[in-house]
Amino acid sequence: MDFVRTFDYRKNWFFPLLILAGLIWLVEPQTNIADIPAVGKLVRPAAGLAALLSLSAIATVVAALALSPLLDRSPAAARALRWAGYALIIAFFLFMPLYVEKIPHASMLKMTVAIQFMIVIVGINLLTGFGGQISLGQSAFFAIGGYTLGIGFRQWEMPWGWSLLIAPLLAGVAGFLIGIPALRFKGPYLALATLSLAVTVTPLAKKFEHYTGGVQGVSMFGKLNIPFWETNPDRFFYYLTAVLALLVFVLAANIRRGRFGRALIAIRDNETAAAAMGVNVALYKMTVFGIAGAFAGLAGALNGVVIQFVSPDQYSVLLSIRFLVGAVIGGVATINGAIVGGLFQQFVPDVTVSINKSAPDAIQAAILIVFMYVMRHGVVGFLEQTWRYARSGMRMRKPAAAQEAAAIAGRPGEAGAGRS
Amino acid sequence: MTEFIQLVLAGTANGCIYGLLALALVLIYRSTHIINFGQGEMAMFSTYICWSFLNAGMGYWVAVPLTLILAFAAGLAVQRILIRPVQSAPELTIVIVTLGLYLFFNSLALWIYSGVPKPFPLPTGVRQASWQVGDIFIVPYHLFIFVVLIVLMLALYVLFQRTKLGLGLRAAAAQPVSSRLVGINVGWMLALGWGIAAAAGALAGILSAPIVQLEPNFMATVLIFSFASATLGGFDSPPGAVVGGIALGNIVALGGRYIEFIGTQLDIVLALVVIVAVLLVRPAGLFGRQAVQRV
Repeated sequence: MDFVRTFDYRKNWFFPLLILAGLIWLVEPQTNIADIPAVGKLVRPAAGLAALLSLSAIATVVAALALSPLLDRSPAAARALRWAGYALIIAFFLFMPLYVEKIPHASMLKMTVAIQFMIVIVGINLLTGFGGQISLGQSAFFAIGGYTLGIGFRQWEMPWGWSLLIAPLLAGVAGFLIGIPALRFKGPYLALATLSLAVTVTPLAKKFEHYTGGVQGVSMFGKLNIPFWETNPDRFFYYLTAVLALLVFVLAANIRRGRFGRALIAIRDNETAAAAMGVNVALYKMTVFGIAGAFAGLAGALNGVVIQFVSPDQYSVLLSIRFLVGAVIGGVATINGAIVGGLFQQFVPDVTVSINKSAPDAIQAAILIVFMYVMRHGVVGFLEQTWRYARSGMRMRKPAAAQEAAAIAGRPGEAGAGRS
Repeated sequence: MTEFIQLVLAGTANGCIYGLLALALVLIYRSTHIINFGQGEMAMFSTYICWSFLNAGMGYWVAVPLTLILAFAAGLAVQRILIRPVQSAPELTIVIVTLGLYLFFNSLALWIYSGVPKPFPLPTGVRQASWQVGDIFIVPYHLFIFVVLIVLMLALYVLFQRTKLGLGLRAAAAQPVSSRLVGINVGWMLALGWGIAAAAGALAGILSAPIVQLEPNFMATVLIFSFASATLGGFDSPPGAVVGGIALGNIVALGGRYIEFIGTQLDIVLALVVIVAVLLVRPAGLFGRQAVQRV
């Protein structure tokens, strides 16, 4: 009974939310809610998403409570649990072709693009979540990747495989150089400067018509040879993207865990203090811009290979904003948040586009703003918080002042967190 | 020479519009240190509202003031409902909320009004044909924009410098804590600032709609130019924003004509160059005050 008496609905809002969402999900088919113009058709998917979110929160709580005795006894158990989680995620993507048809709105191609989004978002997480540098210019690096492929194909008939090597290099160098002016800008100013970078991409690509093919872009349909699985290129590109994404995720996780990541977090939390401790602020900032740029460049080249088409209008500012939205929804100061962000960016627009052509962006904007109030640390950040909260015995703890002051998703005491 | 003067006239007219939107950005930045990325799209949406009124048969001189009042109320509401809860949150959160506003209004306009460009009429009483003075053609509407800007600047000057409300607005922006102690309702002052900014932005949209056609993305480039103007003039100086806007209008008009590489397609690159150059050389802008941070 003690549990019931101390149950705090402010902290455990996902229990009532699950009941509410479940009720809506069950009752909705019997009502005329779906006939309400514009938003009616959204009610059921929204309830589904809310139920999914609260279910995962509840599962996190249950798992944390059930595993607590084991985890308290041996630190090895925590490590084993973490690796089990990774194995589950990898298995989910590894066996994707077996059940992709059963997932609504999914296909091999869409999953491939979703994973490409994840690659970009991991870069944003390092840059923005851990480094504290807001960038709205990632679509520019994505475009560098796409056009490395496109121009290489058009001008020199370069095999597309080379672009996967050259694009991250070029975009990385570009990112590193963009980092130089970025040293002078802080916060919203940086967002502003990188936003204007993103805006210039489309007109520039149209201007250099001679190389880029102008408005028509570069079409490569059926002209990209693949070494094996010729009969099933979707599957080939899926696994190619997935393997590269795995490399990127491992790299990002190691960057975050190591000296580099600690320096980044130090810079984010207090630049002056970090500099005083001997962190080379300028070099780290430029390097993280370079890394995020390289990831976006790789994803851009992969995207061009998969879609087999590159054109200026693909790389609008909205793309940059969508990347950032994905990062924020997943959890900007997490590595695994990128997985949620990429899936969100691929599937939520796909489901909502049936309402109206511009509904996806409007709904994303609404979700984004709501997230800023209720779940500022994103889905994964929220689940991590829930995990820590359950592990500490479902007691509300006053957040330390430092936690409040940290950037969007400061993660104090992360060494103690079971999952990351 | 004739061509040069002609370009300067057109550039100044466009610059007035950039200046107006920049003014909106600056009014918000000065009081809350937020750069509102949604400003341009809020202005765009207000312009669509105005278009709806005009389409319903309302006269220009009724529809525009009505729209401005609505925009003022909307700006007020946005601050009270959406911005206030995150006012003290980290910068990234606020940037993301204003980006959410950008995305929301942009797609909402596309949703409701579709992407088909709509013609927007000139104000009643302003004639279409230009006046000819020597070799130079003066477009009456350009002159109209200029006059509107001057009148608005005067009105804002009187409001901020000569009224008690203006004193409260300035005090709340400069010293929020002390202002609260002397009995100024700082929360409402900030909201009023957002309202005024939204109205100024709406005016920028309405003024620029007859020049370019009204479509959901028509303020996106204007927003980038206004960012450049505000950066050039100094993000905390309202007169600076207007001067910066007019300067930028001329830079774009002259640069597009005389720098062969830029042409008409790449004028947005000029905005990027101006932003980066100003932030590197003189981060506070021409009229801004250098920010001193206490460690």
